[in-house]
Amino acid sequence: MKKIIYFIPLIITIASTTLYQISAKQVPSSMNSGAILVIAYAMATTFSLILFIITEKASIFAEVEGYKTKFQFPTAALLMGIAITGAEMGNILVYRSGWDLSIAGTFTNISVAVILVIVGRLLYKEKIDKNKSFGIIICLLGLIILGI
Amino acid sequence: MHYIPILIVVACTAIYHMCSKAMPKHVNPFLNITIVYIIAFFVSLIFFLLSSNNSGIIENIKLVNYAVMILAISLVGLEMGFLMLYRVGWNISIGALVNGIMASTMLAILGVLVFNENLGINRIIGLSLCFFGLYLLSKPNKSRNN
Repeated sequence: MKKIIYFIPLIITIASTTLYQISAKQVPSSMNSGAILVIAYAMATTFSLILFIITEKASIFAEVEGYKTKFQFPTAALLMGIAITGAEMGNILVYRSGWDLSIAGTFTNISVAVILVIVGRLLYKEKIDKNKSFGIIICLLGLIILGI
Repeated sequence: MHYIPILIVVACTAIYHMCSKAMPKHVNPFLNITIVYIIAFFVSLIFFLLSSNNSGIIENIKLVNYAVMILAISLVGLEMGFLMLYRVGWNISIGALVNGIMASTMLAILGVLVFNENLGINRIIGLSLCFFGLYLLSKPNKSRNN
């Protein structure tokens, strides 16, 4: 059961990333990219608010240790709101400038992964064993070849 | 000019992952996400007002297709997925990488099948290496930490 809980978020993220890249490529090119995001975020706000109300009523997250005990405004949300707007705006422009679905996603993933491995080690003191180091090198090599 | 949008995506995505990991873990994740979207809504509204050349929001709404709706749904899934991913203990270096490889592989396949993009020998070798690397990454982590 623990293993399932460990992998469910990954499955959600992979499915959503794929869906997100496809829809970013398919949005109308004649539409202002700022307007696309205004509408998408208005809808996303509504969806997440509905999910918040449902999960609160069903007490889905009530078992989390320390839940609600010390609520404070997530300051990381401020930076995150700006960062996702930049990432999504950039993504729409990437596809508008003619990048292929497979290549653009790959380029982004390689670069972000490399940056985050460095960030993980420097800021979060995450240890990477030999298997994982080798795995990362193989993956990066694969992604580079995939992106050529 | 061709590379500027992708550089923006890379920089912002890296910041986004760090913020995802820094989000409070003791509140409902959908509350966090809602706050993030409200901020993102206003940031993109400012961008729209600065970049729109006499075109109103109503005129743009008329151009909305199914992809904008799917984009919104996938945004919620993406944010929710990453917040949960870091909550259940994935490392920032590994979680994003595994997601990146799996999503890249799916996008390469869909690019060929749905968008008729070319799948040459390079991409076949690349995909094979990604799967082998993913196998190595998925081995039990002796050094997992938050």
